[in-house]
Amino acid sequence: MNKQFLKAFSEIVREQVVRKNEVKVQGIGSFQFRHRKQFQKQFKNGRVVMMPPKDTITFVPE
Amino acid sequence: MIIDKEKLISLLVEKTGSKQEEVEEQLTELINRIQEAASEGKTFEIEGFGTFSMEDDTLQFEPSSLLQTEVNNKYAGMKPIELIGAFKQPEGEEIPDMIEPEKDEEEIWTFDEESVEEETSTKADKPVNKAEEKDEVEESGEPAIPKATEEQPKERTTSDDETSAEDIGDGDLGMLGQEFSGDQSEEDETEEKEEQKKDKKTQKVAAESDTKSDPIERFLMVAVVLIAIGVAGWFIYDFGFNSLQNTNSANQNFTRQSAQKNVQPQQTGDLDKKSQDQSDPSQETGSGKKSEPQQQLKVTKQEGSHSEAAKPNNPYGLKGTVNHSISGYTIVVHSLKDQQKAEKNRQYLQEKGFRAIIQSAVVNSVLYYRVGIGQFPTVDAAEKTIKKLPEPYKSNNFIKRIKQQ
Repeated sequence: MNKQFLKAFSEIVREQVVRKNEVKVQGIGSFQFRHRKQFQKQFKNGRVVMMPPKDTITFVPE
Repeated sequence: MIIDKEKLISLLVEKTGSKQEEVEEQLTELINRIQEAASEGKTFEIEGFGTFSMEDDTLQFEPSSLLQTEVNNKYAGMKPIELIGAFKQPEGEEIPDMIEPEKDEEEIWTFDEESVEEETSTKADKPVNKAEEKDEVEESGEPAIPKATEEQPKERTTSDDETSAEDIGDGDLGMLGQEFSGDQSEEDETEEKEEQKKDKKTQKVAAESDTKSDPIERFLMVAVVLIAIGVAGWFIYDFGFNSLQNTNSANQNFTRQSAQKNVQPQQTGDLDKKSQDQSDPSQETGSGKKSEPQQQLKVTKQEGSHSEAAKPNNPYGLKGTVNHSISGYTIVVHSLKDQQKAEKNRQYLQEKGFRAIIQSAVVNSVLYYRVGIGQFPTVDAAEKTIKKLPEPYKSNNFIKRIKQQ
């Protein structure tokens, strides 16, 4: 397990996730793409902010 | 699309350029290392990718910030936007500083509603400072309030709050207090102006508004008063006292005018000189101002027509016969170079009942015969009469001083 392999692995997972593909790694779990819409968030002091939408990578363990 | 192990391996082979067996070996080693670390409770970090960790018997993955931003590249740089209009009152108990004053206010209001009558009564009797007030509240509170023992400590604290709030000034709290009518405003007033205790709601509200808008209102009042004085003074000057001095000032005006115009008559002919010898300086002005007779109408404004009408044996008047013994003013309705025409007109007017006078005058070294009607003591009387004249004369005439022949 060399650095080159790890780098290639992380790049491939990232590329596939960005393309909204689910990457299954047997024995660990799967990496998935999630989109979160924008939403209003209120702080406890009454301030209301609009949070921007967000794309995230999530890991679902086996 | 799901990337399973086979596809992943093929992609890895493509990426690294190494053999498939090698890649499979590397991948299984990676998986084993991760599982080992997870089972031992350790974390396994892949640089630039993320961290695997074991939490609650499940494998967790925390993407690195680099991976997060790369996945989120579509929305990179977007930040939360504050929605100012959408401010809502939070529901929970724990509220930061901003809300606390409102709490205080609520306490004040409740305090007022409960005990305002009792307090105002005590304050209305005696003007006392605040420490004494509290004592009195305590003393009078015991018999008056049914739950005296329970409410006393409350009242004390709330009254403390209130005084502090008022000490802050006539700021926000004061403004709010103004909006609340009735008991609330009374309460504020009794503390702020203890001398005016007996006043009821309306008076107090008015007084408070006075104090609020003091500088602007005072300025406006002063301005209004000044304007009123100015207008009144002008009226008095124009219509009141000035009328007493009318005749004098008119004469003065005339002499001044005559002084200015004294030069002109020197140029005029012999006829004029004769008349000048006989007449006083004021009469010279009459002969002097021949070129623009219309201007003379505006020389002075005088009263006196009523005196003319009042006296039965008035030597002056529009109609009747010419009284040559008196001087005065006449309304010139014809000004002709031809003496015969002038005489004709004079006779025509005489037949109509007017006092018709012919006066000769030299204008620009040309002799004119002026046919005037009426004899008036003042220019003003003549002007008033002009308004009653029939049309051809009403619009085309001027007033001249009669030269005594």
